[in-house]
Amino acid sequence: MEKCGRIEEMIISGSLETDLAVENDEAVMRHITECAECRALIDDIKKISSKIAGHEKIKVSDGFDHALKIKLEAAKNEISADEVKTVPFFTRMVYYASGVAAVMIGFMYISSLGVFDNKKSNDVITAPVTFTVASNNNETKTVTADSLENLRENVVNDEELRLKVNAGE
Amino acid sequence: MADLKRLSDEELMFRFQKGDDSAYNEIVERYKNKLLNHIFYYMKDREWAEDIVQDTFVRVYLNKDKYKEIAKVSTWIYTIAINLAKTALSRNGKMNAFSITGKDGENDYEIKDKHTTTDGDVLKNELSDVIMSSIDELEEKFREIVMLRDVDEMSYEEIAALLKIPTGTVKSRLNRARLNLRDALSEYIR
Repeated sequence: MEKCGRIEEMIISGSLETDLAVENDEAVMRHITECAECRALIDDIKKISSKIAGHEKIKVSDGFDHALKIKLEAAKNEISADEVKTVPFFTRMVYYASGVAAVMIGFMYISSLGVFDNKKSNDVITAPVTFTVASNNNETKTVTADSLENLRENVVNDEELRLKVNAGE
Repeated sequence: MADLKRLSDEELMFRFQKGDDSAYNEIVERYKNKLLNHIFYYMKDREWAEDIVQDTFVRVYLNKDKYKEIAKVSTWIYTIAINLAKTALSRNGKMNAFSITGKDGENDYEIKDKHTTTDGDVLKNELSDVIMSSIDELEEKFREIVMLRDVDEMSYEEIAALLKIPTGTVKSRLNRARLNLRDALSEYIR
């Protein structure tokens, strides 16, 4: 006898749902009235579904609710502790801004000392320095200047010293 | 409390988000056994499954504000639970051992009442075991849908949302799973 696969095909193609409200489908009902094979298929599937659905369910143990309560309290406490540890966003921003400002002020101060000035090696002296200028006769003169340029000017402006330098003394 | 029982899951969640902890308790009450049955299929260990279910409810409590009404509460809770179960299993290297029957073929799902066992019960339990073993042998994508539909009694739409697949795919997988089960169980169900 040739196997009838009509209902099986309908199930596979999705044109018939296996939750099978077949009673509402006239064509299917007509077919399964005549076809024992397809009727058996539908019966089997219904039987399997109801067996699975009727399978004895397990229930949570008696201590479930209590254990859940304890876990919940522990989780809440952990969150509260984290919140204390966590610095709010605005405060964090203030901290960052203060840090950046401190670094910038420090940089500006160091900058003002001339550390980063390229001319330092030529004629800039970082702080006023006292020089002792000596003539050929070992006559000395003390001059205070903060740059080589100023030192030259001091020498030029110092009449006595200039005369001695010019006289080759 | 009587009022809460009449509310939908989504209404309960809304109340809970507003600070009503009794609504949360009602959600726990509605889902704890359902979730345990579902998660048990992943874990194969009742205590471990209970742990996962408790952790799920802790997450629900702590993340209540993350729930948006666009999804069903059941979908949200099941998603949390299944993710926790899969993470726990993969940490223990048991992800591939996802099967309904217990170790060495022992089926610890079945809760048998030793005092009232009759010949009819023995046959019934045997058939039940065979059905569960057959489900166990299905491909995971089929097995999961059979469990969600027939054990958890979810709608096609809920299953589709939970597994992030189209409703049509849910139906076709369920159909194929049932046909496979029929082939495997033909000699037991007649």
